[in-house]
Amino acid sequence: MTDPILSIENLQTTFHTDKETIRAVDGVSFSVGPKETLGIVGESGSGKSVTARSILGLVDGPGRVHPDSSIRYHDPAFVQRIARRHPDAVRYLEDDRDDGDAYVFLEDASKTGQDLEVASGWVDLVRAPESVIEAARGSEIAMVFQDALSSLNPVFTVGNQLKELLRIHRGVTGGEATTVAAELLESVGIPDPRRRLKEFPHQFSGGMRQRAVIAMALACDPTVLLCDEPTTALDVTIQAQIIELLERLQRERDLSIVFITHDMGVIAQIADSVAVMYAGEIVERAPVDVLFESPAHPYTSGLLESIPGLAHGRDRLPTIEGSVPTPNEPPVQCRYAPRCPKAFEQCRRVHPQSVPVDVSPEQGLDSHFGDAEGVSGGSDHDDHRVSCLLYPESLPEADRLELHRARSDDRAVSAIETATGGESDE
Amino acid sequence: MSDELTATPRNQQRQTRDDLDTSSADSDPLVVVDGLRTYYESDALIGGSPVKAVDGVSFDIERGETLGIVGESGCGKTTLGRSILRLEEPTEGRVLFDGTDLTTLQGRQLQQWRQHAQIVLQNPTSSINERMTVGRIVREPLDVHNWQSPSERRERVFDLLETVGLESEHYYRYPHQFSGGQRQRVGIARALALQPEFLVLDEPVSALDVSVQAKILNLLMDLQAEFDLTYLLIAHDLSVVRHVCDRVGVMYLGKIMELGPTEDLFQSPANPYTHSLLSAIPQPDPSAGTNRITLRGTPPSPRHPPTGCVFSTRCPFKIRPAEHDDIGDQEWERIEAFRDILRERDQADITVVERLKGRLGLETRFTPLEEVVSELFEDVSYAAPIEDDLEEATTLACAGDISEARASLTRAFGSVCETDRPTPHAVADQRVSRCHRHLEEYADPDDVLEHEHEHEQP
Repeated sequence: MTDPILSIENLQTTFHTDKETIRAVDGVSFSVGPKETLGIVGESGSGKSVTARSILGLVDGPGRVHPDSSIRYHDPAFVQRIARRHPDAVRYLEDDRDDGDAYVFLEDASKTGQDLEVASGWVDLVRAPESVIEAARGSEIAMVFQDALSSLNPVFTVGNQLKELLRIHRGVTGGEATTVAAELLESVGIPDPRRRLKEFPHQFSGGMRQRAVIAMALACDPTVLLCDEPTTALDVTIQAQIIELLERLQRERDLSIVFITHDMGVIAQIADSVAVMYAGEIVERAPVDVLFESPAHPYTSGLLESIPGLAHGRDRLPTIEGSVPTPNEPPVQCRYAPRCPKAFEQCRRVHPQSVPVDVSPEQGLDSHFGDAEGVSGGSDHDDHRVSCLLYPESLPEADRLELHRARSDDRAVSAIETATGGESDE
Repeated sequence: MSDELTATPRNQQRQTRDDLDTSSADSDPLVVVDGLRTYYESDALIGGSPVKAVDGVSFDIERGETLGIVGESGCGKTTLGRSILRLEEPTEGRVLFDGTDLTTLQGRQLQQWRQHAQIVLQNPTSSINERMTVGRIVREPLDVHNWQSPSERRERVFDLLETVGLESEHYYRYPHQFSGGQRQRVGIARALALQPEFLVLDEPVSALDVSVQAKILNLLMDLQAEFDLTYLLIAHDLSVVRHVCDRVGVMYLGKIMELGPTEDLFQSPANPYTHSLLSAIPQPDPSAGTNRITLRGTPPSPRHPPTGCVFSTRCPFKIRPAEHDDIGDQEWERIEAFRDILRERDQADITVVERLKGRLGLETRFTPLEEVVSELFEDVSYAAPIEDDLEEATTLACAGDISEARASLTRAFGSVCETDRPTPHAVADQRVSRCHRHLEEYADPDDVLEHEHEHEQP
């Protein structure tokens, strides 16, 4: 397996209100490899947009990303730049020293000071100060939002807005900026780009606007593109154009894409692997063909069955009873249990953990649960993980329950340890 | 597949029952739409052209049937639904409901008739009044039509809430306490209050999540069976239409391009536009090969629809004049691109200031045409006569006479698709499609598609 470019571990984003604390993202882990497309799919309210916004530090109060979460950006060039600029924040992994201020972690690096060369390592965007996040936002990780009209400023021309970006992030100004901006528009398939630069967003059609927004996201040559429902507001024919565009850009620019959508059809077209979100948690993760062929989690199969296109004829559509709950309590049970057709008693007592769908007998269980959860490991079985008490399939029920219970306890304990460890300085 | 022309030629004025009429003679349709046109007048004082939102649509809806209308946004499908219910004033044409011509109804008569037909609107957050309780919302049509006694109305509302799957205690609640799916149920209950026979469903599930969408679709199908309802379902989501509708009409720029029974139309689309639209649906199956036809650009403005076939500006199967058959595909594409640029410039809203700037030779937002042309034709070359034609058009356009340049290009390279309006052809039993390719002298869209696929797979 190649090293990921972006990895998220145990991401928790909460919104505190007077009434309750909403755990919009509750322990989400995933990773994206270079040039890979990860699709995140889920219904509204499942926390997919908040996940994307958390990565870029765009969650506004009362929302807060929990300090135990980690969002690791692995691009060696960026890690090296930050490590040289902030030597105090660097920590080598071989040291056991745990100091709370570090946010640059080096796995494999040579030389020191301004000559430091990084082969692998990461910057933790949760711990990093705002200035570092700003350096990553746009230039390394860029985002395309759903509503193109509201992500463009109506009182400036598209050219103005593109050139502003180029000035801030790349220091390009004047005639050169105009040329670069026109090239960008051309690369996203907008004809007559020099004329378009002088037009205002309202003079663009919906598809053209989304192209312009993609051009802006690409202005600083990012490595990772987060697309939050970029085609939802568009017609199918225009949607097909935008999907084609993203596929081409990914090839040309070696982009890694995180594609958020509620449309299973779009996911099937564009994603290499898929994470299914439900009530703030990832309930299943698998390569795209595996997920569509043999969905493991009852929620995923329910979701797939309720797509009208898949059930031809005039039969009734299978539905999922009830609606997505608001995750406002710490998970002590399976959040899908009240709607799940396969739920059994224990589903309301044990919080399921991410486990492989199946384990082969020769592999000991320990090898699977020793490593960090959610990060896809080496074996084939690890590609398909699911958070459901019905899995791993080959184990008897009692063993499965034991496994999930033990894993939830571990998590709870480690959470308490870190919480207290932060306060009492040892 | 027979390539017969339907009988009536397109005359001026109101057409007789021509068009896309697929019903057999002995049927007794509930709704007959005949040559319906709805134009929105331009707000320019003089010389403006109207927006042709619905431009000559005809079809029948049988009793108990669900007819689907699909199309991209801006194709006029919502206006069509509203015009049928007289929520918009049609410019021309007739709508017969159970034999009554709705376009002639006035005042009291119209209000009386409205009990027979209702509409369910797309956006469940903006189509119900946030300040009324759910009970009052559902009761409002009963109050308006003075339906029986107040206490019976209350009873009726409780019944309705139960029918659409809500609880009776929801009567006293406000819409903001409801989820999107529940709000849509309120909208449906309101539409059913007066026991209508006909419902226009204007994108009833577009704003909902798939799992909620499935529930609302099931509800609508149950209600249809229970109350013998006839539906006109307007949607842009083709998979919804496929699941629910008996027949489907595909609409583009105010016209119905193809109309036929749902399964037939989805399995073997006849019209190039239907082909393209269907191929653009993302299949929830990663192993499905992509025979996607990606359309260029966006639909043209309904204020300036193309002469000839409305789809001609984006059609992947556009007929090339026979005399230009020997031009290479890439070379031909460049000529088409050049014509696209000129068309767009011709129709762009140019302000007075920009005109002045152009006259004075100052920089406007338009790149000088010379530059565009030289870039476009950089790496292609043509035979002498074609080169001359292009040269002439470029000279005209650069001198500022874009319309004349376009006319000259049309003379040289124009196809039948741009000059003649296609009439509906019966392509199969109960199916009609508007396309010149159904005529005998041209290759059928299917053959063209097959031919292209052979090219792609060497």
